[in-house]
Amino acid sequence: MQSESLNPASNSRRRFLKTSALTGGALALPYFIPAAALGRDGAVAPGEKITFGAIGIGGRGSYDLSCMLEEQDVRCVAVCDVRKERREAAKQQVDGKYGNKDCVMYTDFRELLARPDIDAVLIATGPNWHALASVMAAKAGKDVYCEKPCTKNIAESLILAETFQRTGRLLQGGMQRRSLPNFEFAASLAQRGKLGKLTVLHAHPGGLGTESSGWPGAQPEPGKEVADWDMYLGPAAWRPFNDGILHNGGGFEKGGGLVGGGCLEWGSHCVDLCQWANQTDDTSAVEYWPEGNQLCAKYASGVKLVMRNDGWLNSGSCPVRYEGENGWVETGDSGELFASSAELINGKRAKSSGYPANFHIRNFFDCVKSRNQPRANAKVACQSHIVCHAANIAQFLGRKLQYDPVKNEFIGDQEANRLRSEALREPWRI
Amino acid sequence: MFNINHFSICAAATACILTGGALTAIAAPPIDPSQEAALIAVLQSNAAPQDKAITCKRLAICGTKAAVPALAALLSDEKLSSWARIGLEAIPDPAVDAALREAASKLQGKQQVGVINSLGKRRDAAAVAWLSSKLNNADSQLATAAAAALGRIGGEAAAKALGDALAGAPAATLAALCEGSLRNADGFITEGKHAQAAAICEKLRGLQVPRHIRMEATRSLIVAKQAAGIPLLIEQLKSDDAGMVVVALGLAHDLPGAELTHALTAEVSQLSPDKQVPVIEALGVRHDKAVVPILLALTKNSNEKVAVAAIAALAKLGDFAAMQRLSEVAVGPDGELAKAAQSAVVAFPMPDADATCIAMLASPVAKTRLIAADIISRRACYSAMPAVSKAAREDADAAVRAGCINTLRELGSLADLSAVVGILVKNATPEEAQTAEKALATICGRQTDRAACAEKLVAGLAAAQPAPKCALLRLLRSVVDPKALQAIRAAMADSNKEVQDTATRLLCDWSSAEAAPDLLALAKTSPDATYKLLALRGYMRVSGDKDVAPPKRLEMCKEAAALIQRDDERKILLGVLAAGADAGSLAMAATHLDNAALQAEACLASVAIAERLLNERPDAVIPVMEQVIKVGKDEKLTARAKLALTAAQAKVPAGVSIFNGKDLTGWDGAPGWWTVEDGALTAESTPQKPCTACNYLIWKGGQPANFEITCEFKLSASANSGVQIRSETRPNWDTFGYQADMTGDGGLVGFVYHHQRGLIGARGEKVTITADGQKEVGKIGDAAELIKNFKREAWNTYRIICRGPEITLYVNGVLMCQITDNDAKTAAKSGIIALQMHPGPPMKVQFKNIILKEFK
Repeated sequence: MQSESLNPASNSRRRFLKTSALTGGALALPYFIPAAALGRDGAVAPGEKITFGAIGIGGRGSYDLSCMLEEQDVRCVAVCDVRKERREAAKQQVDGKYGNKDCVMYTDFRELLARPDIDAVLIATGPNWHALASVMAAKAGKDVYCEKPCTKNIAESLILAETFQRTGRLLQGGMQRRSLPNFEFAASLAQRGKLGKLTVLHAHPGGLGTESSGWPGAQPEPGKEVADWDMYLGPAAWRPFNDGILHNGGGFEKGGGLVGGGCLEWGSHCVDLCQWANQTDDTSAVEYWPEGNQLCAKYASGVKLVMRNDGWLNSGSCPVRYEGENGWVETGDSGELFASSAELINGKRAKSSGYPANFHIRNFFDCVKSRNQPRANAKVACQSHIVCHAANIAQFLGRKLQYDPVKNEFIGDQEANRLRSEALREPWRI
Repeated sequence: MFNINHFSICAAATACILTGGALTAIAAPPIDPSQEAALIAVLQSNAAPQDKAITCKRLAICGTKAAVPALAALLSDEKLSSWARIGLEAIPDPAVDAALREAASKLQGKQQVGVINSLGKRRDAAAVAWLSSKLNNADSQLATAAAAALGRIGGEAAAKALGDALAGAPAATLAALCEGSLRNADGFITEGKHAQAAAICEKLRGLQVPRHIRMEATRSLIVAKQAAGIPLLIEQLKSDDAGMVVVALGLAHDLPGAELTHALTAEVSQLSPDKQVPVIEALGVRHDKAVVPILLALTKNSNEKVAVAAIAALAKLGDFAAMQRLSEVAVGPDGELAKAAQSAVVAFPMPDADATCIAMLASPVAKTRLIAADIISRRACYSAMPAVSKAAREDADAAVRAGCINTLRELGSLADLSAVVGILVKNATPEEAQTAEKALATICGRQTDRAACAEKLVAGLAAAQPAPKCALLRLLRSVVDPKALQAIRAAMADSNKEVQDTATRLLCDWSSAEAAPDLLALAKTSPDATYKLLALRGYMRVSGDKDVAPPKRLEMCKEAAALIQRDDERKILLGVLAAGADAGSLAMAATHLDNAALQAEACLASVAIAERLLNERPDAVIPVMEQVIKVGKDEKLTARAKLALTAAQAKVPAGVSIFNGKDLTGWDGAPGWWTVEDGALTAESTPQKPCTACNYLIWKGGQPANFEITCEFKLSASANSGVQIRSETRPNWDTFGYQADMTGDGGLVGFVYHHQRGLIGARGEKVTITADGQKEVGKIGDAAELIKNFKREAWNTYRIICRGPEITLYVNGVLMCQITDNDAKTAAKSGIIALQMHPGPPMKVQFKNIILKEFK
């Protein structure tokens, strides 16, 4: 049975729930700890705010930045982009918010990272840079909020987790649905056994195409000050300058290598949510295979993961569905919950719709203070990205793959193992 | 998809030429290892760099030792070295390491750094000595790359080299040496070589290094020392060095082990509140129930933030031993602490907590019961529902009752409806009644069984006073079920005026066509003008219900049209019509095109219908669109009308000329009467040649049923003639049936005549003849006005359309008459076409350009 509201009366209920969200907090209670008590890796005077810098500020980045600028206990002091127009727009965004001219612009993020007064960074570059820039930031003593997908391949995922653990720095991957009430509630139903023993998890991958970024037609470079192409390419293999990639390259090198983005687009969200519900944040699935127009995986427990683009209920973008022996629940960006029985989803709860990042960002800054692990921390991001990468490799090779999540290698498949990592362009290393 | 090129992964290497154009990404076929030789040949050829680049990537998957020289040869190529290393790094053969080592010693600058990075990535132990020798190199790029590689390769030799280089290292390489060392230390920890790891960290802590490196070293040292590192951790926790506190707090959260839990527990009470809060949070995520007693104690801390943190940590731990205290705090003085405790009980994972909620609901303290109701709602605690239902009805405290009703609203099912109906009906204050009504609306709203909801609500009506009765009726209106409608209908006759009024208005607001007969009756007969109007509007609204079939909808629109008195309602009607897709709706909408007050709506409706109808009834669409184009004021709409018109015109079946303009081929007429004169079929009587009996020129081409015939005709002043349609032949070129009538003086132009029934449709009339022959006459226009379109003793055009029971006459493009003939005895569905020569005074009749279009 699909438990759906039938008439407009339920609208008033929704409004009611929305207002009660203020008091009905399923979300973490934000309590403040004076910065003085916690100290910083830097010379910031006690009592001041968390200072952060924003790196790679395009469309998504300026959204994240706008959420961060709303937080009262943080202060953005620097922005960085390889493109002049974006640097200036980001500076304007920050200065406009603070009513001053203080925000400093950088072309090379290493200069931003070298500033000891910066506690944390937002990394919202293209996916090509995510893992490397995050790792470099951690090594430079910064906590990191990094957009998704956080890594290009399995090796980068492992190094990400390893580096953040070793340095004691905190990563919040931009999988902001981890901090949204409907997704949290759906996961809690699975975690608390309300659905019975889990059987199948469903994730919307947002496409499954395996394509990789090529060698574009050469164009005259606009000059380093306008757009630093060498820095844009960063760890990606060399290509001639191309304006199309520079302006519309949101998918440039996503998934790296030959494998391409595949299920990473929304998989980094939805597979991650399934990992959460399945309580497998510390491991990955053990078997991966393409199945018709779906991509499937199996966990050691026997739970199946299905990445599919079609057949979802009317629950908005980025939907997930958790099925167990006693029931199922499905939700997405509409904020609506669907379940096998009304009893599973009734009750007074906080509700959001769309996919705002502000809760996730708040969680990050709370953790920067308390040093607790954020919801989508490096370990969590590492494993959920590994599941996506391994599934993409199975799709790319067109065959079933077995994976050992302890050794982090495919069993008896040399080609698959070679696709786990890829050399970075000199001089970059991770 | 973004606008860049993609590599196609082709089956054959030769097909992998990339041009500047965009290539569509394709699913990758498996790589065939036998291609290696061909791929190597590409690298060694004069192929374009982009072709060599993709070849390197392909060799990353299938390359062997054999590919190493060709790849290694590209390591010095500025454009391709990164691609070559992608190939090389992936090939497991040791020949790669040898080639990289050789290249490392020969290359310079970035390319050399790249190769060193690859050696580090491959953890090539054989490279350690060479790398070690570069740690003090004056080229800091080279030295830092070597340090990073050694950090990655790990092992004792690498660690020693890095350690030795630390002393006196220039600032440019120090950070890299430290990072390499820390990575080594991390490797040792993973391998269980804790002492070696600790030694590295100790050494780093003693150096003048950037603060974040000292923090990292301290962290790793504590981890490496294991249990023995705990005092060091606690020391950092107590430190005034903010960076060290960060290290300690991080480990307090991340480092497992009961010893650390114990140490933190022992220490937490002595810390300042600013440090207590995060340490308490850490205790909450350590999953060790041993911390419950200290957390319980901390819930009593005078610092509210500390106490709140302790509550939150207890909630995370979910140990039932904390439940008593949590439930106490939850009902304590209002504030952050109580809120935190309430949330803790809500989130408490164990089912045992449900019993606590039920017990709270039985408390003698009203505030406790109220909070319990809220927690039960947020916990979705179904086992408490019987108690909640009882309290909603019987609790002595109004606020508690309201709280419980709200809980029923959140969690209640069909089974709870009767209880809430009972509250509404029996003893409710206005506030409580409102709460109950809302609860009922919500509960009903999520039920799938409308009939069952209606039944429960109806059951409450009998005993209800007027106010709750009205509330129940409102709820029934939302349920939209036949039983609910029945109840509302009955309540319209209630003895109470307020109930009557509510019921009547709810009926007028009913959302499905089931109420249509009631609404129509009300609209026709209600003595109350307001009800009449509301009912009429409601009637029109439900006629738009998706379950109403189009013919029924049109019929309803006609009913409504007959009752409408104001343009406001006509606009509503046009809105309903606009959703139609039939000729009837179009015709009805078109009747308002001439009314200035309704023109905009009429145009909109006409165009909307026409767009849906133009395939099926282009003939009906054409005249209406022509009119819209003529009268319409809205440019966009007129443009749409023109489009529809053009499309409809293209759809109208092509006409066939049934008169060749030269002779009587295809026609049969009384000898001596019909000739062709000036390209027109002509019959003429003179004093010398009077006509004494009707004769007809009969078309021999068929007996069409649904068709449009147009012809030009010219009559002398005294002439009488006509076009027979759907008629029968009679002896001596006589006929029987319908005639589009005409006289030279215009008198009978635009009339439908019938040989048996006479003039059955006059100019300006819209006539409907029922099965039993009864006539209903409506008006199209004024007969005298219409005839002004006729030109005496000149050529005029007759357009006659026969479709189904309808016969429609246009003269010179103007609608003259329409009959809908359902007469069971005499209505003919098909028949001959013929032209009349009438007896009487001398006259001349002429016809030309006779075009017949048959509808299929």
